[in-house]
Amino acid sequence: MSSNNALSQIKTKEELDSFKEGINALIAASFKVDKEKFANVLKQSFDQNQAGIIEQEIKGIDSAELVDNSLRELLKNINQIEEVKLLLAFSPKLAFIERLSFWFKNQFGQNTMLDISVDPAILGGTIVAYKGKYIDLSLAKELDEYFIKNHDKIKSKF
Amino acid sequence: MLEPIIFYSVIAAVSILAVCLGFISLLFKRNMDKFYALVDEEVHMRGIHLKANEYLQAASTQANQIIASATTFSNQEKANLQESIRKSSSTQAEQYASVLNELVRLLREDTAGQINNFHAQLLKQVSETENLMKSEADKQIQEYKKIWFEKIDSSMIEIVQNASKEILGKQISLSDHEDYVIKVLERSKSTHVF
Repeated sequence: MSSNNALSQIKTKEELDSFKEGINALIAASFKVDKEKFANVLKQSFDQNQAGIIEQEIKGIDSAELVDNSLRELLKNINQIEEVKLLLAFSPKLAFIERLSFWFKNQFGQNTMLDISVDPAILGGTIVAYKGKYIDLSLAKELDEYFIKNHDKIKSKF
Repeated sequence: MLEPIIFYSVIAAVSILAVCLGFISLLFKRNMDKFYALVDEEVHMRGIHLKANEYLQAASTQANQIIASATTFSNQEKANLQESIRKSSSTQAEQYASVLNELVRLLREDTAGQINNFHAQLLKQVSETENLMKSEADKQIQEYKKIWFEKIDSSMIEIVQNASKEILGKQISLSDHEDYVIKVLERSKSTHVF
């Protein structure tokens, strides 16, 4: 499995941070040339899915140095992942995070992950910050625009 | 914001009133000076009239004494002369009194005219000041009302806006939230905002 496929599994910033931490732990362990210890670190640092990805990544590599190189390459690629900041009005469930991740990876490429935060004041929709752009797609903004546009109409109702 | 408007309006109104009062005072003083001058003149004319009468009376008495003491005239001639002097003095006095009375009448008319003129000007000034202040006050009231109506309108719209947000925030279900997020993201694709 290529590192690009591994990166496509990372959806959120939390996952990315945990993945990076795990790889750093593996790099430290790979120098020990202790397959058992390496397997323990792999199990402790990653969930089953991520562990499977790493195993595929280093499959067939016997040399500790080559494993180390492979992991460092993976870490380098991880560091190039682009962050999409999302503000939502509600705490998203895992299924919705996956839906969002799928949408953004389709739009901006697999090399993206989401950094989601929550603010109920935006009422609904989302505010996206990506590559220095700030796009307000919130319901609060839409509502404000509606009131500005229909100010006179609303006033006449009083 | 409203208090300075009231403050400056009052200042403006008081200033206008002060200017008008100053003008009225000057006008009043000028007319009173004229009035006193006319009164003085009338008193002076009456004094002259009295003096003139006294002189005429004295001249007539003197003439009668001279005629009475004269020996060249007969009694009849003396009587005629005295009668002529009396008539002449009387006519002169009457003519003088008539002229004096006419003068006094003209002075009175002039004074009355001045006072009427002053009165008319005073009424005009008061009316103009009233109108000016009323117009200024109306303008300020309209401005004040406009500002307050705008404030009330904005407040009401703000209340409705906040209420809408409050209600919407509580009414949207999780699934609606999720669908709306995807909907706005899809919509943003068509506008190429990314």
